[in-house]
Amino acid sequence: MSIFNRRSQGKDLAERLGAREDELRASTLYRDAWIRLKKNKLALFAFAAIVVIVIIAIFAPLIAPYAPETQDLKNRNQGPSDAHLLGTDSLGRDLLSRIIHGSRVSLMVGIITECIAVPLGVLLGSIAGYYGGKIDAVISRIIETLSSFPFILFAMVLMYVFGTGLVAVFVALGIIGWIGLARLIRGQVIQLKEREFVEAARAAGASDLTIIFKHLIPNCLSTIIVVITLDIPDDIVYEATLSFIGLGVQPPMPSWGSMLAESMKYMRDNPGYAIYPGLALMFLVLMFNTLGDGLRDALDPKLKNL
Amino acid sequence: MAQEVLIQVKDLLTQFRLDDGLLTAVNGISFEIHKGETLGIVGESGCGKSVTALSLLNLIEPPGKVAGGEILCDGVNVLKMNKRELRSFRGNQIAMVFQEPMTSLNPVFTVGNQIDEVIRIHNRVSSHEARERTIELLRLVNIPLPEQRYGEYPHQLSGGMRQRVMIAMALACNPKLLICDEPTTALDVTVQAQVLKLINKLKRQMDMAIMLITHDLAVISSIADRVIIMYAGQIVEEAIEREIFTNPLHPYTEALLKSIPSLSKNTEELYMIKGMVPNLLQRHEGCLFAPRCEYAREICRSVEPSSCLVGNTKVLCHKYMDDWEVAP
Repeated sequence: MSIFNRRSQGKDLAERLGAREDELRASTLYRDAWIRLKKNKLALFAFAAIVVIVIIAIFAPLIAPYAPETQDLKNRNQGPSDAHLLGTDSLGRDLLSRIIHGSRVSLMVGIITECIAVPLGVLLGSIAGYYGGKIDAVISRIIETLSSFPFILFAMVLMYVFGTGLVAVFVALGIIGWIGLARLIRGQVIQLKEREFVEAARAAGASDLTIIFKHLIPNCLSTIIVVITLDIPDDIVYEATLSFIGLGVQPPMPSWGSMLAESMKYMRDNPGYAIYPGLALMFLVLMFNTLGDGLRDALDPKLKNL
Repeated sequence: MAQEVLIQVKDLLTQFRLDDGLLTAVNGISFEIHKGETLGIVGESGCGKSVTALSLLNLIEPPGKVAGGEILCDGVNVLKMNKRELRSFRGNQIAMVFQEPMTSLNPVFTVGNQIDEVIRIHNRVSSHEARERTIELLRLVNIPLPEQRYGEYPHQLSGGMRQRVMIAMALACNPKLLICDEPTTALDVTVQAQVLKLINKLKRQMDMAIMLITHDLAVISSIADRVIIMYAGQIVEEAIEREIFTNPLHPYTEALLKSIPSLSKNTEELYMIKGMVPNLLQRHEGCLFAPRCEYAREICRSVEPSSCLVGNTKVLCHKYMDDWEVAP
């Protein structure tokens, strides 16, 4: 241990360099990506819009002019007015308030579904890619089986099993959401594990788990970020679809999907009832997709055809 | 030079099961590495140098397999170790520096972080202690401003610098043997010399043995004590460094020396060994080098030579066997 006995005289120098070091650490892939993202005005706008929507969702009860469930049966199916900016629905509830509260459901679905899907996808994908052989065969067959169903049909089947409601939506979408990510991660891991740094780590005595968690998954991080941003809008649309056909969020809880379903009956008398939730849904999905595209270009130019 | 034996390799046989047959990459080789010596292993691409090195760490992955032999390190057979024993063995007893400094470092972590990790795999130390050791190691391998380099990413360093980082990483746990697999191939000549000097200095300073794998005889001549020449998975000659250059015995060694392009001689033509490395998937009779050998006789093509001792040199060639004079 001779080399370690000499106490580092550079210790305090290192401390003095501490601040400098943080700056250096920042000059990385992610900093470069941020610089590239900043040049993409559309993606930046999308990012800002999403931040605003998130703030609106968090403070919905403070922002919304009415409680979403307050009925005013005298003023049903009204058009926009001073009292109700976007008009009212078939039970006289304020549409703007319901749309604002509905954003909570959409964002929650996006986030919680990914919280279930991402760990599953990353873990199964990297295990399949790293170990190969029989383990890979089993996981790949599961992926192929699950993806041979139309997603929405599969989610509907799961909803029949789990029952309706918001939690069931999370679980159903989470269970199918990991498939695409797992496939991508598996492919990347298969490429990465042949790289010399993995062999060097093994030669230094690293265990399989260390290699997977410290070497392989961190190298997939930019893919994971891009996939999350591009999967969230899909989840939002799936939730809206499930709620539209009555399997998802149950009344009186406001969800954009269930509002659209309800509005069909009043399309002639109150077109705003259908248009405004539809616009909100479209806007949020568009913003996530734009941000996802921007992030993909900024983080990893190799992922062009994701 | 009667020295303590550090690693003893006996009849090592490493094979790869490929779609078109069984490829014997290392064919029953035996050698020893003594404490504190530098052993050079020389040979053409594909002669089994790197596979030998990986076998020493039991790092051969399917479809490859060490099919036979023993590798004894302090009396323990590396090939019989279980996973846990292997993990503590790798890096701790034998460490390895790879050929490509450009790809041997993980691009998403700082170099300091990566050396810390190796230290922490083998020792229970705090992150602060690991960091201090890492900086010490970086200083040891002559990296200027180690405190600053600690926080840099591999892409911010030059090739030579990265190779130094790799060496620092390999030294992290004071290994008894450092395997360098073509450590200078990817570097330019001036940096090569620095890295070789560094390896030599570290060997003395840390009292470890070095196994240097290369196809470059110039590299060998500058730092090796003993040299093993490999051809098609076999050791064809084993001698101390001076002997190899002044008195090469095996025709292959001779040919290798002749094919070094010379700066002083003003010749247009370069010497070339005729023919190709044999396809190891096919069965061979006789000496593997016979088809390319200028001394080959009938016996070389039909009978496999066995190893014989000429002076202090071990050589695998019919020329030095007793019956050569009368052989057909």
